[in-house]
Amino acid sequence: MNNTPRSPGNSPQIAAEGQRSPAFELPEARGGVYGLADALAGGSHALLVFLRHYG
Amino acid sequence: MRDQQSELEDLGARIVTISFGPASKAPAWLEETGSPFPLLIDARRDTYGAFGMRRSLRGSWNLATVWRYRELQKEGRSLRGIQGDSLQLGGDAIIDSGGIVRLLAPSKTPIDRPSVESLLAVFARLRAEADPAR
Repeated sequence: MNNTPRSPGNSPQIAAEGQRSPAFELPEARGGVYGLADALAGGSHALLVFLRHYG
Repeated sequence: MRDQQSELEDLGARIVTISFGPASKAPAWLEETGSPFPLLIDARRDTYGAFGMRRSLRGSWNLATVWRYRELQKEGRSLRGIQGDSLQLGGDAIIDSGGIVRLLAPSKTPIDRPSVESLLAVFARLRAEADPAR
């Protein structure tokens, strides 16, 4: 986990397969901030699961 | 997905969940689901938008959705009702270690998700690309 804010830089606004991912950095429910760089740290790939709602 | 966590991790995958729901409701959701994955709060839905996650009345509310909720209730899941925008759909994305989007699957309906097997296949392909000798 990295709590240092990062700039999205020149990432595209909208994701597309085969293109560089948009950067993001969001509050993590258990505390801190979590971004794309955290997900890919250590050479990992990332699976982002966008939830519908908590219901 | 939790059942395949170790298999996914063996393939070099890190799973991250993202919600637009209120942060105050997140602890209850985490406790109920037992999710071990990071849960990010995207209240403004900027990231949802950046990854093309749809908002749709027809996609969100149809017979299949109602049937699925009925099945979940039969399985003993307690439904807390709609919280937030009921028209917002979810979806899945895979980003490789170089930051390239390798799969983008915005849901067309609440039950429209890639199978775990298909996700595992993408990660297996990524590992093979990174290390053809394996």
